This record gives sequence, structure tokens and C-alpha cells, in this order.
Amino acid sequence: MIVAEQKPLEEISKSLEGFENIVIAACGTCVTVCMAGGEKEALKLASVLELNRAEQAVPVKVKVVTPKRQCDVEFLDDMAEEFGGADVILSMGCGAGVQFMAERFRGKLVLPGINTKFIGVAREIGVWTEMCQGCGACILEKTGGVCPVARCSKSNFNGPCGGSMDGKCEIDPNVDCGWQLIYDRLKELDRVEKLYEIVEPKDWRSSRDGGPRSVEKKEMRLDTDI
Amino acid sequence: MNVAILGKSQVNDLLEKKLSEEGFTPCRVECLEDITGFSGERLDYIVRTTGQTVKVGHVIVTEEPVCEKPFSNHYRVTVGNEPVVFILDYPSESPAHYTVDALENAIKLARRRKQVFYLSRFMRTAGYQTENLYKEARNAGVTFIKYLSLEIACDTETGLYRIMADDGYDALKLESTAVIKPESSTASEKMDRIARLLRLKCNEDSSVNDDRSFLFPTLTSRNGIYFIHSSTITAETELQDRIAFTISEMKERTGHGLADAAAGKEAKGIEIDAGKCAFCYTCFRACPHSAMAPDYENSVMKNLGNGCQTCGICVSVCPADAVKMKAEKPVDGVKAPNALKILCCENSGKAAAQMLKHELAGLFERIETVPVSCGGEISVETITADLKHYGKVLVLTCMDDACKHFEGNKRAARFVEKTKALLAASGLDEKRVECMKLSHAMPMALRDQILEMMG
Repeated sequence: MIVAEQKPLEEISKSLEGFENIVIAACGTCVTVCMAGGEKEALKLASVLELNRAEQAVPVKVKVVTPKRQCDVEFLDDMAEEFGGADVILSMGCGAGVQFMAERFRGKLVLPGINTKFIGVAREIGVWTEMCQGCGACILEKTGGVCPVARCSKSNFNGPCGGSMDGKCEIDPNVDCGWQLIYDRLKELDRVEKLYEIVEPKDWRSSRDGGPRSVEKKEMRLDTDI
Repeated sequence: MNVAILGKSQVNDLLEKKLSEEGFTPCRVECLEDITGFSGERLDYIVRTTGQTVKVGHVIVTEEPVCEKPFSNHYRVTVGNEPVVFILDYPSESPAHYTVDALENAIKLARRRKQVFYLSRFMRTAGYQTENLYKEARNAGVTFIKYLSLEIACDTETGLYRIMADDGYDALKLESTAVIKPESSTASEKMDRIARLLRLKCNEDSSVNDDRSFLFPTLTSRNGIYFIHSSTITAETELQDRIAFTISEMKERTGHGLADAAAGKEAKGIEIDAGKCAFCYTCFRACPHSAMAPDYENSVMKNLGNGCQTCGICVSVCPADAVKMKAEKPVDGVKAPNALKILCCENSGKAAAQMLKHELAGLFERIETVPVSCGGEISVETITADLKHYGKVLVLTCMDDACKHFEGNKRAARFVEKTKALLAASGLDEKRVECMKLSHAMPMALRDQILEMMG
């Protein structure tokens, strides 16, 4: 799941200064689950913005809409009417949602309400951690199901660096050393010998380094002859 | 129904006997390999142990944590007439066994005519044994100081500690070589593994939090999983009480949903908007009564009738705003921009507010009281929505450890703090919202709070 965090209120308020008709577009999937941009967060934000404007005696109308997802255009089509009178749309979707909204509603200013952080998991209610960096070439089979790209601060491929201490990473005592986790896991599975296999330097073109990426599944396309 | 008893303990024999008497089928698991499953409608846990796999409805963990008596080894070393100082520097309640051990040793020393100080940042309010021990300690002459800040300097050559404890009114200075602090205790590796597999909450010292509340002594942070440890129990009757409590909880939680479904009963207090539900399991994880369950067929959560106590915690935690209370809240008073809205937990604040109606009749013309099932029902979103119509909002919840729904009061306090932070960030007065923990018998404290908020 994509994990995000709401932008500081000051930043949001500032970006909305001067706009009277505001539509906050929550998103009903990933950012709802990670409690950053779901309907509840949007309603909360709407109330605080209204309180703030009332205090300053500046008029405002805030409406909240929640498409199931902002990353599929049909859900956005359903919202078109709601955005009619809006001076600005504050998208609480991830970066993809904000951009897709901006593409779909070209005449409208679409602003971001959250910061998109990472692909991760819910550890418990209110705690999410990064698990995947979307590097485009998964090597989890070599590392006991623990990703060295996302979970080692240096993305090392052949063991820990000198900053690993008592199972923790030198960047923060609360961050586990990814390579300690890999070693522990492989030991648990009785596959420590996997660590003797040297992983060759990674071709990072499959990751962000190769520029903006796309995936095409030709057999699924409607207008393409295979 | 099968019940797994996990771990080696001297309580196992008695527990096994009692469970059998009550119609459960206990099975002992001493070597746990894995455990999966979830609580809720089905209360199914799959326990894998060396050589066998058992399906059980409930799990009782009896494995004893390795916790030394942290204070016992120290008190003998104290000499001369210098004061003996116990320090329990915990931001919230100190672990039960530490507290009991510290108090017992403080009493022993005080009875030997030693001057004993018991310094703590957070006073453990109630629990098995501790009430009586506090009383005994006070009678023996132990001085209790609840401090706000503590400074300790130690002269490494002489071993002399210079301590300054400030409680916000006075600063106490002490000098002593007999300063006794708990060493960190470590849970056994086995316990650690059980806790990890069962996803149980742990204390700061990584021991499993088996001290959820004095009202619910054996419940853990997960439904269907209970703790019975003999290390924190001294009297045989306490052990029996805990076993009886656990069995009654297990009976109450068994087959809620199934029985309701069979009887064609609908869930009573909660409704879930299937279109909005993100199937994120937040309500399932947060529900203190095992009353939410996944409906895989429709990919939504569902509420289970009898298990649900309509505490509303699922309503406040749902990020999709998909869970709602069915019943309308009775509203009492007049809505006005200069008014105070009081959201009162029906188990505490409601009664306290009621008692003030006559005394503060004039003020109550500007006060709207709304009873809620539990402070846990209130969310940041509901408070901020109320602030649009009322000058101020006061949330009344139960005292710590007295919440009928376990942690609804703490959740309410956290949500109020979050609301304050949002108001401050927005340039608004954060004092527009307050939270007060009280009992039904504290109308005077509530009166002071109301007078303060209403100016």
C-alpha cells in the first residue's frame, strides 16, 4: 500500500489563501487506510479550515468528496459535477492522484494535501513502515524476504556496513539494520549459506534512475494488435 | 471449545482443572512453533507445536516472564542513618511487579526505623495488592513524592547521589548512597517469541503488558488471548479470581456472532456503509469486545450483534467514516456560538454533570450536554465539527483503569490533544477544547472545570 502523511496545517492553509470555494477530494483507498487522506481526515481538515476562516472573518465554503480512487479516471468522472463551482481542489490523494486529477480537470487548480512517503505495511494501528522502493527488479528470493534496497539505509547488496550496531542502523537507534534482519531471517530458515552468493552490481535502470517508468500489458489493451 | 494453555507455569494444573469443569477442552502447549488466526466472530487460533496442530478458540498464556525482584538485592546494603530513596521513574504506570516489590521493601526498611522516600513520576493508582501496600507503607512512615522533574547527580568516588525532586510546588533535596532504582528486567526469549507471534503489546522493558487494567486483569491487547501469571499474584484467592474472570470472559466472547446469525438478529448499535468501508481492519483491531469481523464475501467489515457494546470506538477510529452509530444522541440544552458543549461518557461524566444542573442552573442555559457511550466514541473530526457551532467543547471520560471499554478514555484524551495541536497550528485558541478524566462522584471537580472554561 502507498503510505502518506498529511501536510502541516500551516502549509495547507497558506496554499489555500485567497480561495473561497474549496473542494477537498479525499481518496478512498491507500491513503484512507494509512489515515492520511481518507474521508475522516478530509472532514477534519474542512472543519479546521472553516474555524480558521471564521476567526479571520474571511468567507469560505468547503466541500468534501471522496472518490473510491483518484488513480482511475472513471471515479474522477463521477466527481466532475462536484468540482463545478470550485475555485481550487485540494487533493488528499497520493502524488499519482493529485496529478491525475490535474490532468482530468485541466481548468482547475489542483493542490496537494498530503506528502506521499513510501510503499509499506501497517505494523499496528497508527504505525506504518517502508518495505518496498519499487526498484523494478526484485531480489527478495536471495535475502530471505527482507529487502536490502528499501530496508538497508545504504541499499547494500552484500552485507551490512560498519554502522550496524546491536541490530540497529547508525542513522537512528530505532531503525533496524536491514542486513541484521536478513541474516536473522536466513538463519531462521537455515539458509545462511545463501549469503555466500555474491550479488552482482544492480542495474538501476529498472528503478527511478532509468527515468519515468511505465508498464504495458499488451494483451489487455483494447486498441493494440499484438 | 478448545483452549490452549501456552507455557510452563505452576498455575497450569489448577487452570486445566477449572477449564475442564466449565466445559472447555484445555490443551497444554509448551513448545510453540507458530500461531495464526484472529479473534472476532470465529475466535479461531491455529496453534502449531512440535508434532501437532490444534485449533483453539482461546489462548491463555501462562509462561512466566523472567523478572528478577529488582529491589530485593539492594536494600540490605544500606547503612547508617542516611535516607533510603526508591525511584520509580516511569512516564506512566510502573510495572506491577516492580511497584509491589519496591513497596514491600520500602515497608521493611521503614519498619527498621529508616527514613524512606519513595519518588515516582507517575503514581500507580490501583491494582492487586498495591492499595493495601500503599496504606501499609504510609503507616510505616514511608514518604511518597510524586515529582514533575527529577535531577540526579552521582559522585562516582563516594557513590553519593544528590537528588532534587520537584513536584511543581516545592523542591526536595536529598543526599544518599542508598538510592534504589529498578534494573531493567528482560522477558525470556520464549515469552518474547510468544508476544511477537501473537502481536501483543509490550512494555518499555519489552516484557508483555499483562496489566491492562485492574478491572480486567487477565485480558491482553488482543481479543481471545489472556495472561495469567503467578509472579504478580501472592494470594491463592487472587489466582482463583483471575481464573474465574478469564473463564467468564471466554464464555461471554464465545460464539457471539454465530449465535446472532443463527437467530437472525441484526447488529444493534452500529451500521457500516459498505460503499465507504476500505476493509482496512482498523475497527477490527481497535474493537475491545471482539465485535467486528470480516465479511469476505462482500469485502467489508461487519458488526456482530451481541458482542457489540456500542462503545463507538469503531466509529471514532474508522478512517473512511464508514462506521456510524445508529441511535441519535439525546441533546440537552441550547445550541449557541458562546455555549459549551460537554460530551459526557455515560459511565462517569454524565452523572457528574447531572448533579451540577441545579447548582449551575444559570450557566447550564449555555451548556449542552450530550451523553456518549464512551470517550472512545469521540474523534478529532467530531470535536472540530462541534467547534463550528460551540465556543468550547469539554470531553468527560472515566479515570485511567476505570474505562469499561479498556482504553476509550485514553483514546479520547489523545484525540483532544491532537485537536488542541490542530487549533494551535491554525492560530486558534487551543483552550477551546479540554478533556477531563473523572468519576461519577466528582461533580465538584467538574464544576471547577466548567467555571474555568465559561470564564
